[in-house]
Amino acid sequence: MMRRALGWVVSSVLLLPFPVLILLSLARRWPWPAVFPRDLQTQQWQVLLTDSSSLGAIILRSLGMGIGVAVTATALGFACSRSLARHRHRDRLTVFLYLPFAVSPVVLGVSLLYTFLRLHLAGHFLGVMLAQMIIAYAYAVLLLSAFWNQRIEALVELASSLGATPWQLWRRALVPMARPLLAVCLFQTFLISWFDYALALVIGSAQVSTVTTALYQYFSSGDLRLAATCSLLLILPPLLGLALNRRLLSATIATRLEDIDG
Amino acid sequence: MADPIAAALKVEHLHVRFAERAVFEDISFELAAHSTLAIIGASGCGKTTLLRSIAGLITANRGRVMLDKQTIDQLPVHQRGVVYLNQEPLLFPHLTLFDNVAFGLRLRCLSPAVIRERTGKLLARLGLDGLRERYPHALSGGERQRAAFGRALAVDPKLLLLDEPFTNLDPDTRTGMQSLFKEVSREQAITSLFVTHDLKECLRIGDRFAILSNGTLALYEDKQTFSEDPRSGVSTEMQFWRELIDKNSGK
Amino acid sequence: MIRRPVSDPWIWVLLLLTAGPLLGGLVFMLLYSIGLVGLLTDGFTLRYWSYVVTDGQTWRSLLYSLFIGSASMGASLALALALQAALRDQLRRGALGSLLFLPLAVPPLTAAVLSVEIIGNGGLLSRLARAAGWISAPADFPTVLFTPSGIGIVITHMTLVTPFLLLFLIRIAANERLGELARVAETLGASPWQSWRRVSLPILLRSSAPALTVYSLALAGAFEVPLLIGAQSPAMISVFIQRRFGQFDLRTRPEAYALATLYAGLAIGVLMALSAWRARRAPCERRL
Repeated sequence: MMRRALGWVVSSVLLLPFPVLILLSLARRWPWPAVFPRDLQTQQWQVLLTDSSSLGAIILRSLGMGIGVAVTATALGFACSRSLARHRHRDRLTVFLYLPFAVSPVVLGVSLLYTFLRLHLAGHFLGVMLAQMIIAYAYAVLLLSAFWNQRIEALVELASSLGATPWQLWRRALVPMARPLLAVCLFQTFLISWFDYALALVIGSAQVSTVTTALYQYFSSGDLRLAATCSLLLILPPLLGLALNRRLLSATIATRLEDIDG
Repeated sequence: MADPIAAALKVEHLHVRFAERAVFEDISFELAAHSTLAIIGASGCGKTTLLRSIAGLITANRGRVMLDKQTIDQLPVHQRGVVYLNQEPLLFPHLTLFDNVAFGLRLRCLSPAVIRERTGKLLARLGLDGLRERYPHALSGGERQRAAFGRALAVDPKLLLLDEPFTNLDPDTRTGMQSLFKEVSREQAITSLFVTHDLKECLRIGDRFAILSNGTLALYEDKQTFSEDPRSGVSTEMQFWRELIDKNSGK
Repeated sequence: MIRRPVSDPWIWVLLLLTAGPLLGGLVFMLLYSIGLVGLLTDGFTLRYWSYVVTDGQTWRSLLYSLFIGSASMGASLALALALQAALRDQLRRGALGSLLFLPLAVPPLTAAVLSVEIIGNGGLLSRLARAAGWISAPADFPTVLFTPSGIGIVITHMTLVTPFLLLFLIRIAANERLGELARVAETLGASPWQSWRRVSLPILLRSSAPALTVYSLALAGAFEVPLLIGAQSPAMISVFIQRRFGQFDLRTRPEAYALATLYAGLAIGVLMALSAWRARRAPCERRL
């Protein structure tokens, strides 16, 4: 019985954020000590989606950046993960992949900024994407190197002996076999870009607006209801991704940290 | 110590079913102390289920298990004094061989000197002395199974259940393990149930014999009666060798 | 398995995308902080470094970050281990196992906004406390946000990290066959508590230690949560560096670079130590 009650408590804590954000985004006023907001309306949504804030364009750009980062990082990561998995100094090279996570994104951004200024990439969304790519790529290699094992290598040898060219090998054997893991990788690397605030701030130098920088602006200007509305926009794509793909969901367990264990 | 002639293990009307299917419905037998009952049966006949329900790893639907005149059905696994040895050695990967064997003694809060002495003796007897600081991954299959055997013996179990423990070993190691088991269980007066699907192993290990098939257990007091029953497969086996010998001598 | 030589082109891509920007950036920051490159440089100097190293705020911020990082990780790990032991069956079956994925969709910025709205002085919990008659004004509610204790940051990190750790631990438990090993321990006479303490816990901790160390470092360097709900002072290191760096006065830049170099150096040091420790451990104890 105690366990069942504990289960309910944990479930409620996990679900709580969503009603709170939705109520905030619909509240006209929510003065203390009211437990529920007085009257609900859609003004925040109108401000965000139609008014001059041009958030629509910002959302599109952030989505584009996320997709670009995810596709590039996953493709490069998949190719490199095989070389890494077979490399003699695999463990030593893996340390480099942990680096972007161990030094904070702020430090990473600060260290890149001067070079990016020289290359005219600072203050440009391409620069922000490139910086996000460094983290997303390291993540992709760590995640995807789990795919390579002796069974896969035996299949590669088999396919080659059946006459597959290297291109056919990737196209017809390796990519289809790795598809579930690649889907997880695309999803997670998309989130690295979509959730990023630090690099957008440092490399973007206040000239690249993303959904996260917009959220921060609403928060710092004291409008928590707009910040909450913006938060919902930020949560929506990953939530959709998790809801649409149950397999993605369970496979996600393996990600984020598992392969840091290497 | 219990009366050596009295039955150490008494199983009465044991009934286990999974979902709708009864694995066995009414199994009863007795086993004298310090003896080994070898049970043979085809794969999937319920040998493992029988052992696991005696160990308490599965709850039986009906029936009673008594050990040294005490009913143990209601006892939790760790208080039964029954050790179950799996087909796989399942050594603790985070402990050295020595610590694996000493595991049960440490639970009983014995003094380090006693633990060292008892474990050391066991390791020497099992021929594992030189490997005490090794971790499980660095041991061979036979060494791992010997370690698991030692880990079980260390706690001085009232009953040892062995579930095809030597199946995954190569033939030579397997024969070696069989003789080692036979010798050590005689020295230490172990009461045990040994389940196998290998006829030769069954004959080598058992003091008493049983065949488990279709949910019933047929018991045999000695090798003679066991061999005479056509169901044991001994006669078929002998027939095969006889024909082979005849053929060769005919040439 | 076939081993390839270093000349594999993809390995060069890997080095180019990881070691290149990171170590290159580090060298650049070092040069900038000693006045060898930069906009306003007038030659080699150690004055920025000596300022940063002797500034009490630097060390306060570093220690504070280390404390918040390890407190967040320690508390989340303890909670995750306790929940895993208590809710084993519910996690394996039923909706709870799926709900654990929800926080993965929540970015740190949103988690911070939620903390303001839930555990802040004017948040949902304080409203409920008022409704229950325990407090009469927002100020009566215990303050956890914007305080030097950093407790709000730790709680917010816990909400993000615990579900993830729980998923991670469930995964390790399955990979290491903890269920079966626990049964073995029980037949050898271990009570459920002894079997958890002597078998499950050490195996879980050993298998996750490297990942958890890297994660703790990431939490020590966290930016968004302390930026939104942390105290002005002490500031966590990422916020501290960003503040120095973002100042209009370009003369604080070399100091910011010195600070960032110092922190990156420390983080890399920890990573190297971790890697050396694993290399030493690996030959004697790798998973079966």
